[in-house]
Amino acid sequence: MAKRKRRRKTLRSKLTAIAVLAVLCAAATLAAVSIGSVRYSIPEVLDAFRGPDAKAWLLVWNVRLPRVICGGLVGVCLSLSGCILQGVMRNHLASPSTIGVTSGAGFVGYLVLVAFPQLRALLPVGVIAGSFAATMLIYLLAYARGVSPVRMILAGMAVSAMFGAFSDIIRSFFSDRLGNAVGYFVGSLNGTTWDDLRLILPYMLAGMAVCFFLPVNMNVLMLGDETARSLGLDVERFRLFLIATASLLAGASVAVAGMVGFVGLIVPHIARILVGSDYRFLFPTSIFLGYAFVVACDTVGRVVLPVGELSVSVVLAFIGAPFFLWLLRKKNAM
Amino acid sequence: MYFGFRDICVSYGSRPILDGVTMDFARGSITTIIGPNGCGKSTLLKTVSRTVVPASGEVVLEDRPITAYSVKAVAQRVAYLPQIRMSPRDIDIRTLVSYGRYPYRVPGRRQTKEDAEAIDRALALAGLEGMGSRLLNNLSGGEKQRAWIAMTICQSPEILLLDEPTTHLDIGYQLEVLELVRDLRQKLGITVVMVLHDMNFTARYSDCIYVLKDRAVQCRGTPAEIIEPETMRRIFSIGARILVDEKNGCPLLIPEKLPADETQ
Repeated sequence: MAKRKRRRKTLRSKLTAIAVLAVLCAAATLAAVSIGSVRYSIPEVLDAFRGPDAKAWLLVWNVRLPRVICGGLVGVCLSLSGCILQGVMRNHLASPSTIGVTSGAGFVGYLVLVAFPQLRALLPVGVIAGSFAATMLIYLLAYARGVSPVRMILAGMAVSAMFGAFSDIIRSFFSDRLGNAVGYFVGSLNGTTWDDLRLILPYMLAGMAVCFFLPVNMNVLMLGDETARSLGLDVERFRLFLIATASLLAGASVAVAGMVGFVGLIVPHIARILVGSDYRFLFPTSIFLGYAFVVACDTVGRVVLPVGELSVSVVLAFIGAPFFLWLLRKKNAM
Repeated sequence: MYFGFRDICVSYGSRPILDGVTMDFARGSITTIIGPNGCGKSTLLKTVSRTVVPASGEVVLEDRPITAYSVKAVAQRVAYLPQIRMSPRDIDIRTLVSYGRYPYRVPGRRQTKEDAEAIDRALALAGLEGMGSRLLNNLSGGEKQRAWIAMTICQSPEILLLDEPTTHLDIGYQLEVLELVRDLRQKLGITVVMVLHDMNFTARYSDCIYVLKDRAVQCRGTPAEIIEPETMRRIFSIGARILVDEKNGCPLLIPEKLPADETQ
C-alpha cells in the first residue's frame, strides 16, 4: 500500500509541475506585454484589452501582444517538434535545429520568396514542405540502417550546412528581388503582426491538435520497434506520421519566426527532468515550458540593450549552446 | 493449421536465411526451436511480428495467413517477447505491464476497470504482486524478465512467442522463468513457442522440439526423440551421453567433445 502511495505522489508532482508552468505562461505573457520601451503597469495592460480608446491599446494590443503570442506559439511548436523527433530518432540530441530541419525549411522559404514573392499564403506550405523533405532526408541517412547517434548528428550537420549554403546562394544572387526580406528567416520575432499570426495559426493548431493523439502510441514506440509492432502498433506508418507532424510544427514556426534554434532541444530535456519520459506528461509540460521559455527570451532580447534589440535566436543561442555542449558531455545522452 | 509457418523463405539481400521452413504448433503445447547460432531462429520468430517479411511462404493463424489480420487483431491473439528490447529509464513495472492493453485500446479513452484488472492479474501471475511501482531498471535480471513476460500476459494472448527468454540470466532465474512459462500454459492454456539454447531445459519444458539448421527444419519430435546422441552429433557436432531424469521424465544431456575424425 505504501508503494501505491508513492506512485500517486509522483503523479501529483507531475501534475503540479504542469500547473505551475501553465501559471508561468500567463505570467510571462503579462510581463512581456508590459515591459519594453514604454513600461505599463498591470492595470494599464489589462485596461488595454478594452479596446482602441484605451491608453496602452496601440502598443500592447497591436505591437506587443501579437509578437508575444506568436513567440509563445513558436516555442510550443518547436518544443513539440523536438519531443517528437527525439522519440522518432530515439536520440536526445535530435531537435529541429540540430538535425537541419529548420535549415531545410528556411531554404525552401527563400526559394518561395524569390519565385513567388506575391504569394504570401504559399510561404507556409513551401516552408513546411521543405522541413518535411529535410526530416525525411535525415531519417533516411541516419536511421534507416540502424540507430546511431553519431551518424544522426553528422548527417544533421551536413544537411544543415548544405541547406544553409543554398540559402546563402539565394540571398546573394537574388538580394535585389528579396529586398528587405533578405533576413526573413534569421530567427526573429521583431515586427510580427496579427496578420502574420493569422496566416500561420491554422498550421500550428493542426500540428498541436495532432499531438493530443500521440502520447500513448509514442510510449509504446519507445519500447523498441519489435515490441511496439507485436503490441499492434503499425510502426512504419506511425513513424512517417510522426515525421510529418514534427515537420509541420517546425515548418510553421520557421515560416513566421525564421530559424529559431535550441528551443526544440532544451525544452524536451528540461521537461523530461521535470516529469519523466512518459509522453502523456511530456507533451503538456513541453507546451507550457516552450511557450514561457521563448516569451521570456524574446522579452530579455527586447530590453537588454539600451538601444535596439537582440533577436530571440541570439538570446536562445547564448543559453542553448552551452546547454548543448553540456548534453554532449553527459554520457547517457548518447 | 492452428498456428505455424508454411514454407517460409527469407533472405537478407542475396544471402538466404530461411529456405522453406514449415512448422506446425499444436494448441496448448510448448514447442521449442533449437539449432546452432545463426541458423535463423530469431529471424523466423520475427516474421510473426512482421519485422521480417518473408520472400515467400506465410505465417498461419487459424488456417489464414497472418497478413489477412490487422496488426492489432494479431496483437490481441499473439504476444511476442523479442530478445532486444528498449525501455525508458524511469518506467515502473505497472506502466510497462499496462502497455499489454495497448491492442485493446480505444483511442481517446482512458484506462478502463477491465484494463486495471487485467494488469493486476498479469502482475499476480508473474509473481510481481505489490511490486507495480518499482522501477524496471532497479530490478534483478529475473524480475525484469518476469515484468516483460507480465506485459505479454496482459495482452491476453492465445499464443506466446519467446526469443531466448533465459539468455543472460543465472541458472536460478532461468529455472524461474521457465517454470513461469509452464505455469502460464497450465493456468491459461496458452500455446508457447520459444527459442532456447540449453538442451536440458529444452528437454524438460518442451512438449515438442523443432531443430533448425542450414536454413531448414532438420527434424521434429519429442524431447526423447531429439535429445539423443545421433541428432546432437548431426546438429551441433558434439558427442552426447544421455541419462534419464526420472523425476521430471525427460532425457538429460551430457555433452562430450567428438573425436577429431568424427567432426565434420
